[in-house]
Amino acid sequence: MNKKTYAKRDIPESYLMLNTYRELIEYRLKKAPDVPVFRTKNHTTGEEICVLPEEFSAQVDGLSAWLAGKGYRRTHIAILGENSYHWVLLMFGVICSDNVLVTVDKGLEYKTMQSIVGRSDSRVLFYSREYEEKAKQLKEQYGLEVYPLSEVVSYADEGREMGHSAAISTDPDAMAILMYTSGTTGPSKGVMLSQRNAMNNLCVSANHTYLYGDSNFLLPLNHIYGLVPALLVPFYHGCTNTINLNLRYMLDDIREARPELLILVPLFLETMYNSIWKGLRAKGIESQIKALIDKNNAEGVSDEAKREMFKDILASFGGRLTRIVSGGAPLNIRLYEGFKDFGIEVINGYGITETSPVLGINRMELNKPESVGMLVAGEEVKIDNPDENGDGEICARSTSVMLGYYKDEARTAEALRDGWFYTGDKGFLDEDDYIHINGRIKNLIILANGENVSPEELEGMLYENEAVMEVLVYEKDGKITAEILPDEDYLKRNSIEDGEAYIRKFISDLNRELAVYKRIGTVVFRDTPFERTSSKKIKRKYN
Amino acid sequence: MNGLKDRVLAFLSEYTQLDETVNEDSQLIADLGLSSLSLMEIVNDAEDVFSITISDEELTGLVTVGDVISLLEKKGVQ
Repeated sequence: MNKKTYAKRDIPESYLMLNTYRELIEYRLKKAPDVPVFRTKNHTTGEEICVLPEEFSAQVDGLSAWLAGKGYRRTHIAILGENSYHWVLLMFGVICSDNVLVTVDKGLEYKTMQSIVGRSDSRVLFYSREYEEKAKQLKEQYGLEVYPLSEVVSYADEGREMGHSAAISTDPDAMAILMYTSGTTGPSKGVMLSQRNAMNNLCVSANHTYLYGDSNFLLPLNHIYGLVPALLVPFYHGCTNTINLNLRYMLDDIREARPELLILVPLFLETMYNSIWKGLRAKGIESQIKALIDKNNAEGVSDEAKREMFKDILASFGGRLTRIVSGGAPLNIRLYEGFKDFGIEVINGYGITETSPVLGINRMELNKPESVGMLVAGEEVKIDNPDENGDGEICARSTSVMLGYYKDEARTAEALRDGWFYTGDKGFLDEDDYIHINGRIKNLIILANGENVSPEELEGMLYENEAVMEVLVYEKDGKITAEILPDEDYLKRNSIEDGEAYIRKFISDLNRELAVYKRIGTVVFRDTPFERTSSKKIKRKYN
Repeated sequence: MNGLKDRVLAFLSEYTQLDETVNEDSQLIADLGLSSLSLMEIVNDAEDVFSITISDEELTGLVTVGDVISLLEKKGVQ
């Protein structure tokens, strides 16, 4: 394979490029006025919401007018809540009224939430019922104005009565979204994105992700992968996006929404794939299906024929699914092959919050699942400082690259140099402009659900226990692992007989406080100090 | 109690490999290697298997094997 260190792809003239969320709504209104934009179903109460483009547009205008009427302009408005139609409506309302949307990960531990609300200079907070207590505490601490998210449709109605909607002009290059992401050192970083960043990325991604049928929205909205491509690509294409309200009902929603394409992280693929085989085992036909798959593969049976052959199995995903876009974390090739066995094409992609997010995506006409895809149109990628194998740091330059980190000039200067964003990922470009990743320059754990975890943050928490003399946190076999050298002197001084049990108990208690995805899964003890670098830092596994 | 513990462990072994070190303090995600998504699937299945309903709040509180046993006991499962 010929490795390259630079590639650029221009945006074809045929691509319609949008600049603002308001333009996106207008485009959608013209493209498919009779097709609902969003649908939700509450599987506990049976309540359903189905919104047509015109109604959606009017609600966004109304909410924008209501926010303007409250005097909010360039105000940082935080949102804390699970996925819902209200969440999406608020996002459009905030951005279209020239305010800044601050997304707060609802799964975070309260201390980190506090830090994000404080550092983002949020003045207003919308919360869902489940987070009412936390919202009250945040209100108290930061003097926020707080509103229940469930009321946004009523606020939109009030705004419509006020009658001065849709007149708010916005600057497409001003910050519109402030989203926090794990850094390798220090607290999380506030990524500032403009409407143009997001719209540019959406328009090129949508042109690479052909979508003819409906979709089903399953990713968390507080991450860029959910917020831009997964939510807005179906919107752009004039399809209905069913927003899943509760992941417990993920498969129910998929069955009912009958998506043709799903945009997911590998963890979902894993769960769906396992559910196929669990069902087959329960029916006692596992070995027969395996034999059939082997036969198909030997005979080179087409995807279409496989989907027809396995239609009873695929009915659990609605029966129309043909493709799944996977991003946010490395894709295990086993999953690509596993879905291919049933005639489903998995399209691997790559993106980062700072690039709004998509940098690369595989194409149906040339799918290379071992790569993270061909760079998207309008993107320029260079491989910085390549080693003797041609691998170096992947850097990107395009209209989708962020404005910078909020109030953090030092880390902005480190990440953005001459317009290039230094991703921290290591890899190469092949002769067809496909990006391949094979390591990381920066120290960050990327989990199968797309969450990024900073080892240093967890190490800092572990060092709070004086019995921990040295610790290194890393990922092994998909689990967060803490390797610890106990402080024998401390244990002796404090008459702690079983030091390992003492530290394990501390970690178990710590895990209860931590966001689920940050929990430490494996603890390994050692009795010798870690090897150190010349600057006396513990040598990390990847060094 | 032991009977219920055995039932819970047998139920969980359908989703993940359990070794002899698994006990009531074992954490579902951290120790048993379950994902947050598979935990939801397990809770949905548990509702059928044990003929109970488990609310989202109760789901959030399930951290260890012992938590699952306590919840089932609370709901009258023996």
